[in-house]
Amino acid sequence: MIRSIGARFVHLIFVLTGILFLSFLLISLAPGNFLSQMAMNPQVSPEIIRQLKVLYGLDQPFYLQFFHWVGALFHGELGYSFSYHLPVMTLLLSRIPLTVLLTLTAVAISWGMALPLAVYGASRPKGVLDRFLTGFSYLSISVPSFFLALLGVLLAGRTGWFPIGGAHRPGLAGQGGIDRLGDLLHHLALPALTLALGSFGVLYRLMRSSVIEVREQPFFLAAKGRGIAPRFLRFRYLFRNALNPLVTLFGMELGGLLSGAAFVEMVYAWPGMGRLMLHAVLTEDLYLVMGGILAGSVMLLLGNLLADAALFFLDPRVRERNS
Amino acid sequence: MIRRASRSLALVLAGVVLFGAGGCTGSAREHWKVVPRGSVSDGNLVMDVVSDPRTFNPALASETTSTQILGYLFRGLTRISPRDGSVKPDLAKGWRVSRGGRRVVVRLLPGLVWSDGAPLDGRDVIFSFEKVYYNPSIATSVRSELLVDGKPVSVTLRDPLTVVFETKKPFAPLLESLGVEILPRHILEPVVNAGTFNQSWSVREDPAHIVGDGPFVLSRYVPGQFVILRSNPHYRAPLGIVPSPGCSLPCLAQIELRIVPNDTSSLIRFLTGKTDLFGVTPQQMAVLKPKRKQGAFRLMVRGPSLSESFVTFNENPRAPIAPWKLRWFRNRRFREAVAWSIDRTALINIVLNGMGEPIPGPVPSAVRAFFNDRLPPYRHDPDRARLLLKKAGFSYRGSWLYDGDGHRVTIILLTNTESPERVQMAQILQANLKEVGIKIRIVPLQFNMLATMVTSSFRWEMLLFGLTGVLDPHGDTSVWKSSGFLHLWNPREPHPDQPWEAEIDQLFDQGATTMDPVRRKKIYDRWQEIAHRELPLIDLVTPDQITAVRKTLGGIHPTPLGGVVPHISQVFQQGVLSPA
Repeated sequence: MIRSIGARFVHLIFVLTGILFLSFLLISLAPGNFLSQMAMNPQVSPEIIRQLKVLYGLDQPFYLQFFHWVGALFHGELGYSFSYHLPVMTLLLSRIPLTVLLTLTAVAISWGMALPLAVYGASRPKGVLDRFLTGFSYLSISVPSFFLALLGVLLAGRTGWFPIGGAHRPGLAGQGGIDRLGDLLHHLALPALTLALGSFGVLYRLMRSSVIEVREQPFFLAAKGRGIAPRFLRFRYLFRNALNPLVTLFGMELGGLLSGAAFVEMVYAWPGMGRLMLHAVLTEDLYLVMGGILAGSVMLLLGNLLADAALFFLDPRVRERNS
Repeated sequence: MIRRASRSLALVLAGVVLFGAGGCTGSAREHWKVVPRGSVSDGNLVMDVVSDPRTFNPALASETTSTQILGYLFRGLTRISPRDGSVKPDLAKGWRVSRGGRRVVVRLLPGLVWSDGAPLDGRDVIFSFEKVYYNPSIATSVRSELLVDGKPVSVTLRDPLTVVFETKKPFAPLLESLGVEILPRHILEPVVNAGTFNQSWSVREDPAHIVGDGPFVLSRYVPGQFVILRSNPHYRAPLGIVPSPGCSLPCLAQIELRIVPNDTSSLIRFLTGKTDLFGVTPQQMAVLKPKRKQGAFRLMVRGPSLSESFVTFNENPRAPIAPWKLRWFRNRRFREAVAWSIDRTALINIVLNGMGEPIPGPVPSAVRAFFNDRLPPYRHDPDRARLLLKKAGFSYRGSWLYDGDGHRVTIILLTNTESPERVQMAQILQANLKEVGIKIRIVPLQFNMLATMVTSSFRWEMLLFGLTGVLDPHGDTSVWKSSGFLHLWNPREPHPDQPWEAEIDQLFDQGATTMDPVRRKKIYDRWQEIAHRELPLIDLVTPDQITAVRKTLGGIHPTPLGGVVPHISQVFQQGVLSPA
């Protein structure tokens, strides 16, 4: 197992290098750069644009820029944001915690709701609750998350139950930890619910079909026929085996922790990575974009690695194949 | 651009959501009344901004949110009157122009201090110009505005309160350029000397370290969430800015700027009483108009904005486009026919929801000091356009237009995707030009790609675009002088290609060096007449500026150039909003 994970880790480094090089190449091949918008301002002269280009190193060929950036990576630096005049690392570290909080809360809500409901729904297929949840999951899959978010904003506006925008009220400085936590959860509730509802449908349908499939497997029928206690049967035989396809999905969810909430963040004005990265891409803030790609890629590759490791422990067939 | 991008996101389902927001009308929570306040000297103003500030360093700021916030924290020697665009003193007490406009002696207000209590005098002015703005190792785009003929202005200190600016040639817009922010020497000189100015006063800086001279100081910034400004106790108002009744300047105790990147969310926040000011797009008027009474706000239509939209053709002989197309585009009658084909009323009614006006020439009517009101508008007249095209050697086969060599007139029109309004305008132009037999293929492109094609590869035929509006026509020199880098239709000409371009070159040179405002107006009137006749840019429409203002706010007056807030220090809260 350790050898297998070690090999995957080496593979991961090659894949990551490839992703970073290709991303850098594609950004460099795209027309224009961070200064293009400034260059279309009649009041900024071409001489100033030339000076700024030299200051930002944008006059160098792309491969030199790339090697300088990779060199900086080995010193623990991710480069410098042209628009914020700040190290990229500082900017990312200021935004990542809130995005991770939002996406992890959403993952906890959606998985916490979808898995038990799917097991229950699959045990009574075509029942009233199953029909309702299947219909609901269709809706959840087909409605885009940003539209759900706009409806959420409307709900907040109409009822006044939830705040719109930010993660804190400005007037909380000096108040106690409980108040601050309560305020954060109040701001977090709608964006997290929106994201959770968006992924509920896929999870519910996947888990439901997986449970139904396992319930028809000979080993499950044999266990049932031997009179194993229903609770033990449900968790030891049914739930654990039905989880296999969801483990891969969980790996992908981990990969999307940093990038999966961009639209929802925009609509709810949640101060996370999504907004930062959208601005960076639109303004071609090169190293900020690269920093975001690096963080997202690392999460995606680690998520997949973790999913593989989890499958190794959960599924004896995988263990068998690897041995 | 960021604003446009977030607006595009909102516009996808704006219809549905605005309908939903409109449906809020009956909600009890949205009926408000204004209760008078006991005191007007401790109010807060709450506004939404579309994005985070990128820096708190005025020399490095280039995007809207940073410049808006820094406008509350810093001041220049002069300021522009939002009412008529005239230059007024800010940190200056006054000035004397001599030597035919080549020397400007500026006298500072006595007793000025920075927000940390340190004295502010001419040495700060010298530092700002010589060590910061004219320093080539500092990444500031402000430098462009402060160069005359590509050379720095000589700045010398006569005494602590008197600064002398000298140029080789008279430079009429110099006083306007002196509005750039003055920076505190006692704080930033060590930073400049250490070579770290480009990283200084970033958004991670401790607010207490950011020392300004404006009516407000930075109190707190939480990335992605809000910026809080509080009143500057050391603020000294410029001459001519008088306190509102019952308060000393600045009247507001605090300004709270919430960062909300989505227009629809901002609109709902305003409708639910969470903000005091809201910049309204023409499309949002349908929601806001019926809710004025319940919402305790006023809608202020301030007239046409500075922003312009135009179409232009590629007349560049070096451009890699078909030679017969170049002949069409360089034909004045062809351009005039296109100008007569465009239905500007439809553009206003459909794209701007009826809230806008046509622009007859290169100066919008909001710039009253230079607007030439004698230019007749180009109306929608397809018959006249067809006649002009026939006179220009074109002919019709069926309903389509062909040139003298038998080429069918088909043109590719580029515009940028970030502006849904421009894409919509392009569709109306397509229909208008079809009426006179011209086939238009619309290609919306991402801004940077479009900019590269227009300014570098010259691989384009027709462009629908707009440029940053300016208060003084001199700011458009790079567009209108034949050698200009943004002389879009034929950039960087070694010599003027056409006699009228040579005349415009002369007019811009004269305009820059003529100090007498009446003579300057005549010079720029003549430029507008030539531009209106030759049509290198065919001007289209400009949207109205609309702001929704909570009735609790005082010190609010609509102005053509400065929004509804003539001077932020005079704004006060005269009441509080309470559910009815």
